[in-house]
Amino acid sequence: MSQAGPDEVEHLDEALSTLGERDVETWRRENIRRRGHEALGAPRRSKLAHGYRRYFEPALVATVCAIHLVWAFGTTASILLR
Amino acid sequence: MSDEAQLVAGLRRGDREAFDAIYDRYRPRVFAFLARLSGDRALAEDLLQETFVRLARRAPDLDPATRLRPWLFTVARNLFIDHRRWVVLDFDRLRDLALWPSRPRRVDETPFDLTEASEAERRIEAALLDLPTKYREAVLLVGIEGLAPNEAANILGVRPDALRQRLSRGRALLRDRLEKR
Repeated sequence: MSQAGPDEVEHLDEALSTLGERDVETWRRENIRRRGHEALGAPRRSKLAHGYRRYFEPALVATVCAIHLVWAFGTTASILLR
Repeated sequence: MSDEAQLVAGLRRGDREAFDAIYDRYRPRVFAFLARLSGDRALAEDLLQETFVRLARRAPDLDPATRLRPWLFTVARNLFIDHRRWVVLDFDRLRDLALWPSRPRRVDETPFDLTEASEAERRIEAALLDLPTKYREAVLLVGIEGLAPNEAANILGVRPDALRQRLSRGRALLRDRLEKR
C-alpha cells in the first residue's frame, strides 16, 4: 500500500466532501429536543452528590471487591496448602 | 459578540431558543459523524441524544469562549469510545487481530437514505466503514467534517503529528479499499 500523492488526496477529499448529511427521523429529533429542554431546566446536582457518585461510590465498590478477592485467594491457598 | 458566542451565552442562561438553534445547526453533522463512526444507526441516535443532553446539563458551566463544534464532536466521540469499552466482543479488534473474518458492513439505511445516496456515495460509505476505527475517525473529522488537523487532534486526544500519520494512513487504506470495490 503506497501513500497517496497530493492530487490523490485532493481527489479523495473531494469525493468525501460530497457525502451528504444524515438526520434522525422527525419523532426522534423532537424527542431529543424535548429531553434537551428538560435537562436545561433541571436543577443542578450538588457538588457533594457529584463527588459521591464520581469518586466515593466507585472507590467503595473497588475496595470491597479487592477485600473479597484477597479473602477468596487466602481461603483457597489455605485449603490447598493444608 | 459573534453569533456562536451569543448562542453559548444564551445556553449558559438556560435559554431554550439558544439550545434549539445549536441543536438544529449541529445535529445533522454530529449524527452523520456518529452514524459513520459506529456503522449503526440506532446506536448513533442514542449517542446523539446523550451528546445534546450533556450539552444542556453542562450549559451553566460552559466557558463563554467555548467553540461548540469541537465541543460536540469531542463529546460524541468520547461517548462512542465509552460505549465500545462496554461491548464485550469488539469485532473491529478481533478483525484487526485476524481472529474474525473481514466482512462488509454498512450503515443501516432508511429507504430515504437509499434513494438519496448515489452509487458512488454508497461505495465510499462502505469503504469508510471498512477502515479500523482510529483511521476512520481521523478521516471523518478532517475529510468529511472539514475540521482543521489541529482541531481534530484535540478532539481525538492525540498529538498533531500522530493525527497527520493516522490521516495519511487512513487515506491510503481508503484509496485501497475503493480500488478493490
